[in-house]
Amino acid sequence: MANLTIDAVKAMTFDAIVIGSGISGGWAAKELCQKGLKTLVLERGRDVKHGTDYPTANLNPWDFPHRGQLPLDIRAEYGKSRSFMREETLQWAIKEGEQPYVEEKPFTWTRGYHVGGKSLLWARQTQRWSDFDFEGPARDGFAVDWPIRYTDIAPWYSYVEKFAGISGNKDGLPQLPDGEFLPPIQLNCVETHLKEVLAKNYQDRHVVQGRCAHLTKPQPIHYQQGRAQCMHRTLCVRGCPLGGYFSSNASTLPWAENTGNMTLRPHSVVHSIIYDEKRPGRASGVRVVDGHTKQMMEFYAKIIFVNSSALSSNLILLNSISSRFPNGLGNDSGLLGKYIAWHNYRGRVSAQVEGFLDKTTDGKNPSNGYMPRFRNLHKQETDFLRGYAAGVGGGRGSIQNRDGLGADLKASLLTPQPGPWNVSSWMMGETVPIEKNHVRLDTLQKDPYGIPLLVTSADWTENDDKMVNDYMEQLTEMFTLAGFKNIKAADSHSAPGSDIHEMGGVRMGRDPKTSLLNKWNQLHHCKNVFVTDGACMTSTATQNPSLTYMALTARAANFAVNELKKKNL
Amino acid sequence: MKRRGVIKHLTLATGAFFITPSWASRWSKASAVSEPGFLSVAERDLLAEVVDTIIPVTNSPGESTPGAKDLGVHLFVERMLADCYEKPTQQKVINGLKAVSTMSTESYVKPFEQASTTQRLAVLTRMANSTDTNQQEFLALMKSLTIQGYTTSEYVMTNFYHYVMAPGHYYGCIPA
Repeated sequence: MANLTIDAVKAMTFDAIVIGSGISGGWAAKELCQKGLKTLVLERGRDVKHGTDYPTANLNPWDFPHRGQLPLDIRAEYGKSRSFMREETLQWAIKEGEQPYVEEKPFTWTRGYHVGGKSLLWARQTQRWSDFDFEGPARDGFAVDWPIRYTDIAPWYSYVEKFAGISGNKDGLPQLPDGEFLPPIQLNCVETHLKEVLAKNYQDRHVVQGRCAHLTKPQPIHYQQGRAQCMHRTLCVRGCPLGGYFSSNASTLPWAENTGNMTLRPHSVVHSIIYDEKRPGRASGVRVVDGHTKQMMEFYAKIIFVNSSALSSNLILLNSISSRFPNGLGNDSGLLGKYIAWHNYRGRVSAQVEGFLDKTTDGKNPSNGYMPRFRNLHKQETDFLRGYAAGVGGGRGSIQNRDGLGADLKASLLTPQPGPWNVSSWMMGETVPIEKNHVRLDTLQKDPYGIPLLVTSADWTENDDKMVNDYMEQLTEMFTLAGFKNIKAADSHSAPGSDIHEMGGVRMGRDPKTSLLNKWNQLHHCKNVFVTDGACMTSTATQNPSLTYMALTARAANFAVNELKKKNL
Repeated sequence: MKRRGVIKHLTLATGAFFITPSWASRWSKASAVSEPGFLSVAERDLLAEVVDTIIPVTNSPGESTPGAKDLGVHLFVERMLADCYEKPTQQKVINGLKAVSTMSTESYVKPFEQASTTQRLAVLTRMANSTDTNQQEFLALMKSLTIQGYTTSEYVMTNFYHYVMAPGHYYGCIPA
């Protein structure tokens, strides 16, 4: 700061800085701007304007020259970014070398390096947590007790649900609390059949409509955001020009922009957070490497929200070194980067369905059926800890006879026959965070911006293997009871992280000795820094995590502004 | 008609958003056609006849349905082979086309392009059932790419498969 004039410093100074523009960063931006704070939102990737920057959104299948498949030269350029390797979604993939990382053990790290982040890539499932989840670590003796309970977050779930627009059915299940719902998307014949079979045969197993962030019936608050009803295109991964589902781009960022308080700065790779040696327990700003010029610059603010996605937030804090914090910002406990966890999506059970041939579906379903966790819910009943939820979906395809050549083949192709119903379920298991599963900085290698590479060191445990087996057994049993045929259960043995739900490393807790963040997502030892993305998660539960990140972020932002007003920050 | 209303509305709302990114410059039809592939002009013409034999023009009373060549499927097949397949596969296709040509000349004393429909089908059927795995693989690849290109064409998707980009609804269980 010493070499800058007062005016120059002023130009680089804001009330708040938000690192990251994804699902949680967007919420931080909206809340802080709405409360009158001049807020700088830093995004390491390029800008993506809602509507205009979804290049494939309105293309028909025949508009894609390779029908979705990517040319070999493009595949080579993008290397490991496999999940989005399709012509329609290539715009969200990152090129090989953009941010390399060191896989000490195999770990799939999917990133969304553009404005909106993974809010343009998510599955849009939004299930609330319950106290079965918040009380999990304390009851089952792992990780550390969550500093909050369901009652702390419930009003914030409602708050974000009303704004984001969540479709769902009120099911009255204690393990899956009801929310502020727009009309649900229907279950299909087979999902409803399974629901009835489970209700008849079990006390505690249910199939419900997956709660999802789709505007089935937009309310005035959604029209005010410029969004419109979901048209069931199911082209969500290309970006939705209608804003039919919730994304930062369609919702929170334009809302923040409209306050006049937001400065959005793309191509800004955050290097570290600057610790304020003059004001103990406070940070003064962030160091940013410009994505184009590679020049380092500094921005200053009273509060800093870290929302750069779970592992990137760990990386930034680990790289924020000062004489006070030689091991990373706020890291007196030595736990920063540890207790990384994710979701276990290894199991899949699919089957064919006999019957229902007089029934079909019409239109397209952007959601699916959902089986909330039933294992070890009220008491420990298996030889593994915790449990799993399951997605359930399926439908009726058509059959094309592809035999022969010439006119016969053509006639078959042009008259597809309705096929049988099929059903499929996918596992969403809780992994138990352990100290050994961690990320840290590589001591030698650096990325193109001069930032140390992240080392991922995380692996499955015996608990995960047992859970996959139980999932396969239980789903097979339930499918058998439902009369489904040709049931196939499989364990993909995919690498950790393939679920794209990596969490932890900067966990919340009650005690600074055993956690990094307090119950307001505030670093115990650096009060004006808040971490509200996946990094803050003490445990993982079984629910898709984004809704909980949104609620935690809105809650923390509200707290931060109040603390600022009280001059506590 | 309600469905039409929905689509019209969608077009109004999103009509301005057809912006192609720089990495997708190969998407325009003109460039896809004029861009030199890995085939010679003669090979390209032969490929067109092969895909058109796999899915030919057919006539039913009062109506003619286009075949693969009419819908430009041979250009799609060449583009796929040029961009998405390795060199050895491309060479296999060139060899396969040569074999088609040779078999036609040897059996019927005329080039494949001038052979009758029955004769052409006989050539391709022999390749499909050949003991030579190269010929089998060539025909399997031609057939699968031709089916892919044909069934994902605008003509077939809109006229036969009732393709609708934005149905506007999902009914989970209705009479078939």
